Amino acid sequence: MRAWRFIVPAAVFAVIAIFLLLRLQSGRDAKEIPSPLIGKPAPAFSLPLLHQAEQVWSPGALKGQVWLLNVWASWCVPCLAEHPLITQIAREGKVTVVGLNYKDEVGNARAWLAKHGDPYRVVISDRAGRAGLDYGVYGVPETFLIDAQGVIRYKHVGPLTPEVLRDRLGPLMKSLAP
Amino acid sequence: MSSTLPDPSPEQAEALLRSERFRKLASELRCLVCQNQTLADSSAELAGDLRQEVLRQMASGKDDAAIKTHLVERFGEFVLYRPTLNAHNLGLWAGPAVLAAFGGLAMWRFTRRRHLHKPQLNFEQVEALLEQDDHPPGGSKSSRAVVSRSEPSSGRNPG
Repeated sequence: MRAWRFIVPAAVFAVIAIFLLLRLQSGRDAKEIPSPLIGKPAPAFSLPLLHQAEQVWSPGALKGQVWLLNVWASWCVPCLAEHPLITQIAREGKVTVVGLNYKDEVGNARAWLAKHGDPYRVVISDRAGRAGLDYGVYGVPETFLIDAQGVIRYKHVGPLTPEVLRDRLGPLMKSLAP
Repeated sequence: MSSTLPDPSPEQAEALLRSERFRKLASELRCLVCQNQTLADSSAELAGDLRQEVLRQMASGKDDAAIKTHLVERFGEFVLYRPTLNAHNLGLWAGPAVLAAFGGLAMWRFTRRRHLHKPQLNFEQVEALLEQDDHPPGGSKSSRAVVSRSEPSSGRNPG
């Protein structure tokens, strides 16, 4: 019976230590907030295109396709870092890549795309950031994977990395692709 | 989608901004980019957008609960400074009570056991025991005399 006096506190300590260690080793950014939108229909919006401002675009246009919504801005430095990867995904053509230009000046956004390349099927201009609010965007860049039924399947906050593409986004895209 | 709500007129926005209700709401919602500030405190651009969204929702006649739900549906429970109780965080909410219960139980058991080990005697019983020690049953006066003789005599000088 006496041994319990040592075993119980040691066990409690071990459990706490294991939990802390797991968190520490997971490499997960505590600033990253799990999105409640995963598994929910992608919010609808009607916004002008960046290149043809007179044309209005809605996510309904891509019903039946798996697509990636990449939220970016010309003022966003990490967007530049992930741009080659976005370009690569668009070039592979497994999914349709749509750009949501978030709280940006049209002129700046166009110049940025002219300079760094425009991999997007369409670019939507969300100058007021209202669509961003509906998608729970709080840190640009953000990337959403939306399935053929229009349901958000994955969200990545911050610049896309080759690791995220390899371990998370890639396999999901493959499993959703027709 | 409710984010297509119209912006309130400048006068209406001004009045709403000054309202106690807006102040209270904004202080219960978290700015997501500066995580330890409320919407009321933060000067971040996103906080400004979210304040604007709250104003739009208020102007459209939504109540506080509906506005909070609207934001939680998009940004998650994290926007609430006072999270609600749900299946995901039940453990966190129950944690303190469970710990207190375990601690209380352990303390109760520990103190009770100590009580059992302690002889429970009152003053009379202690007296009686001492008395017994002075006059051991079956002992005689002589035996007491032997005991007292065996004690170190006060008259002896160790020096």
